[in-house]
Amino acid sequence: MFDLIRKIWRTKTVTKTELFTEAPERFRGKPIFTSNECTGCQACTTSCPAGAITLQQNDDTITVSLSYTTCIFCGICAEVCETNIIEITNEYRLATKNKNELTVSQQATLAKLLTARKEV
Amino acid sequence: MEKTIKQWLSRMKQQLGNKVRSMEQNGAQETVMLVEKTELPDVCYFLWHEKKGRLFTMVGNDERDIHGFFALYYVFSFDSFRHFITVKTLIDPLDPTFPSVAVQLPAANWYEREVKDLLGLRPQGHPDPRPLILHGDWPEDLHPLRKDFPLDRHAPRVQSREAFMPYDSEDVTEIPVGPIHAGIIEPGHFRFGAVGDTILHLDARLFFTHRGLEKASEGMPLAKALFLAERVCGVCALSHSVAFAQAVERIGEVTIPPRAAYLRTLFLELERLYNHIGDVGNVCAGFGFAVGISQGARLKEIMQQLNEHVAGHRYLRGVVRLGGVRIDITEREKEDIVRTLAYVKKEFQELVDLLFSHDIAMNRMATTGVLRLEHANDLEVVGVAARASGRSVDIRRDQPYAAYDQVPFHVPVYEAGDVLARVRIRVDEVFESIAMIEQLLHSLPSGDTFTSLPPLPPYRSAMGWCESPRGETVHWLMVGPDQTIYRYRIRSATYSNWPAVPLAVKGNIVPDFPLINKSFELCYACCDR
Amino acid sequence: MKSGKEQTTDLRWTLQKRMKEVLGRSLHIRHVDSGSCNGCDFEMNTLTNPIYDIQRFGVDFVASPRHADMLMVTGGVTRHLEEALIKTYNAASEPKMVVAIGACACSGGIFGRTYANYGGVGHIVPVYVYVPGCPPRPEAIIEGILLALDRYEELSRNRYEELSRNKGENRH
Repeated sequence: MFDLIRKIWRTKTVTKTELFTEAPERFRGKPIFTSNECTGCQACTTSCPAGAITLQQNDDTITVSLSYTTCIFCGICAEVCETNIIEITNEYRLATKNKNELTVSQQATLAKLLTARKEV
Repeated sequence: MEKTIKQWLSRMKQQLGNKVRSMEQNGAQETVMLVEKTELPDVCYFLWHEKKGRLFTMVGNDERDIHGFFALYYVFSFDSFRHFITVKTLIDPLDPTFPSVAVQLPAANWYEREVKDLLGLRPQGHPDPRPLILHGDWPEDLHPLRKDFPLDRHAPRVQSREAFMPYDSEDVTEIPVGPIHAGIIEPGHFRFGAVGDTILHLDARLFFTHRGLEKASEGMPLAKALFLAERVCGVCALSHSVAFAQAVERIGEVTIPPRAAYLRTLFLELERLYNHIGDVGNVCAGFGFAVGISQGARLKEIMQQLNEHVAGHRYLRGVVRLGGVRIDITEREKEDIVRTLAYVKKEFQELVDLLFSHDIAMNRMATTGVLRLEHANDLEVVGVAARASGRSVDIRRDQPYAAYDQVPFHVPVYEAGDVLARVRIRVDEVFESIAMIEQLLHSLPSGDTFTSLPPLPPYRSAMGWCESPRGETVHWLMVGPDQTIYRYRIRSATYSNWPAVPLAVKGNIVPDFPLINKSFELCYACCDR
Repeated sequence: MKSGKEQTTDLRWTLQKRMKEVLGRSLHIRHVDSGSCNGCDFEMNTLTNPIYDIQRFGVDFVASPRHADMLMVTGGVTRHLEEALIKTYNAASEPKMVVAIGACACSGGIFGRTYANYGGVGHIVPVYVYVPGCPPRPEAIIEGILLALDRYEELSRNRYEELSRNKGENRH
């Protein structure tokens, strides 16, 4: 009995007091668009396990769309992209009332393929 | 050793005589015996009963595109030889039946019912004709795992064929529970037949979370399917991804770099730690020991925050890549792990001392939910539940993978088979894991963290295995053309252990069921897939 | 009205304050697993541990949908659980706030639509708030709760205005 009370006493309060804290640096959260260059190599669309990324190519621009509803936050897209159009951040607050808000797209200019495709 | 395996295999071939049509090697560790389907029960029973092989997994496969037949694979593990024997039989699509093995080998019960549901291969003489994976309202003549069944076809609902054990006596009260239970827990439906407070019989209806994952994986590129494997189960995510990666690597005959093997082992032990610590706390919820619940949950949260800090994911997803690991750790993270573990070890020791010195807790746990050794052996129970019943199986020691042959560790075994024994196993394994991680960090080799895979030959099969926190997990994989999956069969620890729960609860009182269930700590998702 | 995203991080009692404002009482949540991998379920369980401890704000996970104001649904709705989800939804008391937790519940996630999976809670029951993530962090789930309260406030205000407008029209 006294052991129990002692244990509770020693542990003290451990409850978090802040509502939202920043996730650790390595946490794979929201992928964002950081550049507007795309080679159209489709490395991201073919390697995305959930099929959350789509590319739509017009004459000299490409629209990259990313759906956070389907995204499983694995970070493969950022790893394979040559122009670093997608980057993984540690942002995790994505909840929304409107599902359409969860699809984002980026207009990108067509860049030349620099090297052979990176291996997945 | 190699010579003895050869002698042992040739002697076995002699003993089986003309029952075995051919015998061939599939990789270094597996021998495939092709038998006629009429000989299937005899050969399987011989391997299981005479040769003391463990039924490791069983796979049904629609290979009509390849050679015109369905195929069944019964895989037996021979731990002392570190070898597997697969009994393979071909089944003519015009006569999709086979003699049931489950009559003599109870562990094959679920596997054969699954084959019947998903592939339409009917085990003849099977003791339990009820549907298993697909519930009663699924049309009996549609079999989703056949290759001609489209993935997204929604079958109409038919008159339910669901049946439970009827009780004749008026003294037996039937208590239906679920699938939506109290608390935050996965869905399953339980029918208790109780006399007064005592459970006479339990029928568990599972497979509510069957998502058609194996079918969804077919035709998927291997690199993508790794992420699917991670999402079979939330809390054994890493074990599943390691098992899948090992199956792929075994087909490609690739050895991963030592650093990758050590890192995999390290993360696997971190997974075991957060699970076991959380489970010990959770068992306390079975008898309302609030201090234990809170302390267990707190320590688990600390471990998960460590996971997130080191691997970027609280459940260690995204750690593995085919041919190695994606995540490397730095010296600073090494220190963080050591520091956190030292703290958790001290705190966990205090929690365990409290729990084991608490009379009420001990009273509730001891002699509750006893799983007898014979039952555990007959049903091929694995993991914590097996080791608590005196069945010493641990795939980390028996068929080492990753870096488990590099670090010495002790496998705790208890005889009692009750809730207390299962908790004690977890407690011992926590300290064992902490010691292992310390060793691993100390001797972590430098070098690459991954190696690239060669193109895999189509229609080759291999297995990957892993000791998840709940027991051994086996992934059987056959690759198809263009580096895609042809057939993927996941046999998780819970799939083996669920049939043992109804046996363990018999004779206990109804209020003890949550406690017994928690002590097995079976997840439904990786069982149902 | 401020949404969850604009609120600063140091508001310790945000959740409790919003609940009082919007509901005037505590919030009871019923969890429905409609075929998840149990990752999201464990994250919801985490909310009740001593570190997050959302029970201190008056949020509780209850045993019966009849006691619940909010349903938290995880998983992409399997064939076998469709009926259970619909029954739970019908049994829940108004306002039946449905929060879809995790990629599977939002859109089917990596499993997508299969013969046994419908691929998203939105196909079966109306959803208030989507919380993406695989699984979402516990704090993201708290944000989801806050947004659901906002949504409820909006809807009830609209409904009130509509009702009073109708009343006014009837009088004429």
